[in-house]
Amino acid sequence: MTLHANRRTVLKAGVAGLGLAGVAPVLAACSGDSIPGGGGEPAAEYEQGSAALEVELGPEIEGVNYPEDYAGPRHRELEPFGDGQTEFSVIGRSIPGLSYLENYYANLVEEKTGVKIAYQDVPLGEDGQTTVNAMLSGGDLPDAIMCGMELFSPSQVAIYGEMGMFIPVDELIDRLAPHVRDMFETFPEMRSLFTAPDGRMYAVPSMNDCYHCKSSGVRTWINSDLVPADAHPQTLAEFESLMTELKDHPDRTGSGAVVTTTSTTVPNLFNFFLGSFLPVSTTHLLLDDGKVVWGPSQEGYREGLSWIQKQFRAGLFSTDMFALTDEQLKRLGDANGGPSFLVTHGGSQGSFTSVNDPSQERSPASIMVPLAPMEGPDGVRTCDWDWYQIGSPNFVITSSCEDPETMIRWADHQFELGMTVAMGAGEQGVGWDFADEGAMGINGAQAVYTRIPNDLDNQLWWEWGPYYKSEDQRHGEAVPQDTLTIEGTLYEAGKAYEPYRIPKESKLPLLVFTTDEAAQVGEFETNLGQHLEQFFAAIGTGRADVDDDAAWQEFQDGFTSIGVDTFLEIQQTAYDRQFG
Amino acid sequence: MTTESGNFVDQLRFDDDDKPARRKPRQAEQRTRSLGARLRGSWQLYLLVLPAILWLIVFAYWPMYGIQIAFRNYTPVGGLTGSEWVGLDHFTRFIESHNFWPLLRNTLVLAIYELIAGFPIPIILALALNAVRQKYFSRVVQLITYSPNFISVVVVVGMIVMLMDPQAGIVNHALQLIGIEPPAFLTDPGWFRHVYVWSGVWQTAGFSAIIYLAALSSVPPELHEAAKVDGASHLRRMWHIDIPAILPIAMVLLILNVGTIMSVGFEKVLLLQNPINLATSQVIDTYVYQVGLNSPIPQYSYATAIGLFRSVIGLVLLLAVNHLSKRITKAGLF
Repeated sequence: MTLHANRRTVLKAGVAGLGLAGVAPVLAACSGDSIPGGGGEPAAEYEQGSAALEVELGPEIEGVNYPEDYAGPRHRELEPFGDGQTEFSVIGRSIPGLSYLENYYANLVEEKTGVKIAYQDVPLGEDGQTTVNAMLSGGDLPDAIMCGMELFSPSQVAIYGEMGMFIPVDELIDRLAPHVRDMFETFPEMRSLFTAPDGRMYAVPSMNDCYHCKSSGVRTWINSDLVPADAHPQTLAEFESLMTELKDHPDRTGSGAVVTTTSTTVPNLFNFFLGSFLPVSTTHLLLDDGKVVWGPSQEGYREGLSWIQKQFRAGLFSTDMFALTDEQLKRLGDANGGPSFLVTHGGSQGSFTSVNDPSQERSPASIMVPLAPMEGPDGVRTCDWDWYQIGSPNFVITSSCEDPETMIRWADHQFELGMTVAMGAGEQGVGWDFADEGAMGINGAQAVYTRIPNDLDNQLWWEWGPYYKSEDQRHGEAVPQDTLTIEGTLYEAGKAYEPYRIPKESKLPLLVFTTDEAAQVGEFETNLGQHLEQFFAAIGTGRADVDDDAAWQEFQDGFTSIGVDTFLEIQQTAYDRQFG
Repeated sequence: MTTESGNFVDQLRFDDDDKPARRKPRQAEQRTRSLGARLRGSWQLYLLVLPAILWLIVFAYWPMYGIQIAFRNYTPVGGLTGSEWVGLDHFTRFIESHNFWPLLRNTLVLAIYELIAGFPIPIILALALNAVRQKYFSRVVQLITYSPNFISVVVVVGMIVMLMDPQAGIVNHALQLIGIEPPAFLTDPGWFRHVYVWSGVWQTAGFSAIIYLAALSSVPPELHEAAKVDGASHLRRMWHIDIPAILPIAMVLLILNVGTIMSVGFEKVLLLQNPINLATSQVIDTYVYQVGLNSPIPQYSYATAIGLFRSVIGLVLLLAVNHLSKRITKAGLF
């Protein structure tokens, strides 16, 4: 029974345990040292970018219309280099509708590289993590793993790399991967963000520089049925009086919440308004002149919360938001006659409506329009901007790969423009094609390629392979000019926030931690975040008063007792090591 | 259920004096035979028990091997047996952590509340169903009360959230109709435990009652007839006949429930959790989940240590209650 009680943790261990049992004969045959990565020898010193390039970029293919100052992958000739015989094992993800054997993109990669790959697939999400862990601990390593965006955090890659399980790829890239190297030269941050504490790089990072994602953490929408574009509030004072006036407006759908959001996004909504008092960040961590600081303890935070508390007391902010589920918010958004709220948070329109097509008339996705950050009482007008959300550690080569040079070139070929587009859009001429001159991309500049609406059955890998999508590449997708699209409206939303973004020097990048640091930060993050959210809920429901000095002190002391000082110290150490 | 040595209830009441005397010689004779011979002699029985033993080994005992990572710094490279041994480090870290006492309190309060509320209701339901003369009616009630047991927890939570929705919830509207201002069922930390426990009672009471109904069916009707002749009322008969009949089973079930006391329904708590009720809804299981996975690298060892800590407390409670039960009611698991 106690066993049953412990089933979850035991299961996890059990899966790993069974994995080990499965390869027991292999282990018995080798000495302990020969378990892949078991040697644990530290990687040799290497200065990134120092090796000379041995493989040249292929010549550019003419006829592609790039916008002016285009920075990103280009369409080039690709020379197959593999022998077509040796089979490499690569882990991908199992996705409904994707069968690697007949997959169009998988065959295209084989044709362009001449490398034969036996794909193994692991499930998406947490299950995939467990499966891969069992493989890693069992020593049953493939040649390479395509991690996608969530299988390994940068810290995990670094730790496994330093243990010797993944090999360093920096020197290989510098010598053999002209496309990746080209990306590093255009975007030097792609190197520094994914460098391990020991100075080496253990994964080929893929770039996915999503412009509109940079402000999605604070993106807030306002109902254009009641607030026309020219009447958007510019200051918090204007916002307050406008909301008070519209609260009981006869044209309103229903009489429910004026400002609401879901329980999990309350901090996002608060951050949007707090940005009118001081610079804030989704992680609550900021840089002040190279020093990592805890946002909620900064000057201005209390005034901001006090303003928010006032809105709850006035009934403009709805206390329901602390328990609202995603479905409930969508129901409010899909109400007959238009969304029943006036203001809500949402990374995209899909957060608050199920009719997520802005081209449809009277779709909540077109009624709700982005609300730009407003000016606070002291003239502050900022918003969070995720400067460093530009890529992920995407492709690792394991220590049991006998020919890492071929693997790195295999990944490199996919950084070419045509390959990167084909990964997400299938065959050229069927799923996409290069755009004609004059076609407009998402950002209004010349489009590079255009998607063709076709049934792309088993043609794609979506974003589950190595790719190179710079901001210009992403914006190079042609959009129809006469109708609203999701990508187009989100681009406009990004534009509305950009003027107020926090400076890059204030944003703390996603850091790479050592094993000991990583063991601690997770717990701190959870506890600090929950303490903060509980206080938000307390002031929202009137159980605490921001303006009461004792309550404020208790709130701040809570952070101290959780260990915010140690937490900041760890962040500082990691930051100085990586960017200092 | 009446056998030559009397029925179930009689056995409870009277100690057969001559039985042990009759048994002894047979046991002595058994002991003289070798194990192999005894196995061969009744191989059919062992064959029957084999699947259960295999199940236990594969799903209960073999995974226990993995618990050792609670005492190590588990890394996929080192694996289960090769990772660095750190002894009780993870346990000390948890016990010294800021959250330890609130977590323990929330877990215990929720579990004990659930135990206390969930224990008598199935018994009362079984007694009532047993007393109903119209079998058709009692069957229908039984079916209705035990069917929620087959609804998945995710669906149950979905239903709770819908029924208690502050704007559209039926419960809230009904309360408003009769002039009661509905409380914030889902957001008030004080209400979290009631919602959790009573929805659980609704879901499981009918199914748990089946076991008691089975025990009640073994009560010989003669006892009831005799009591009726003596002029005993319904309640009297329940008290003096039915309850003594199901008491041993009730005790066993109670002890079993205590064993799982620390493992409050993880999924349901997690699904009902929101930032506002965290003060009462954060229990050890949900904390393990959040801390183990919400980390730059998953903290398998730490999570396992917390889980193991919880299991050990569960085991201690189980042994204590079993001991008490044997003392007080002479019935126990072992």
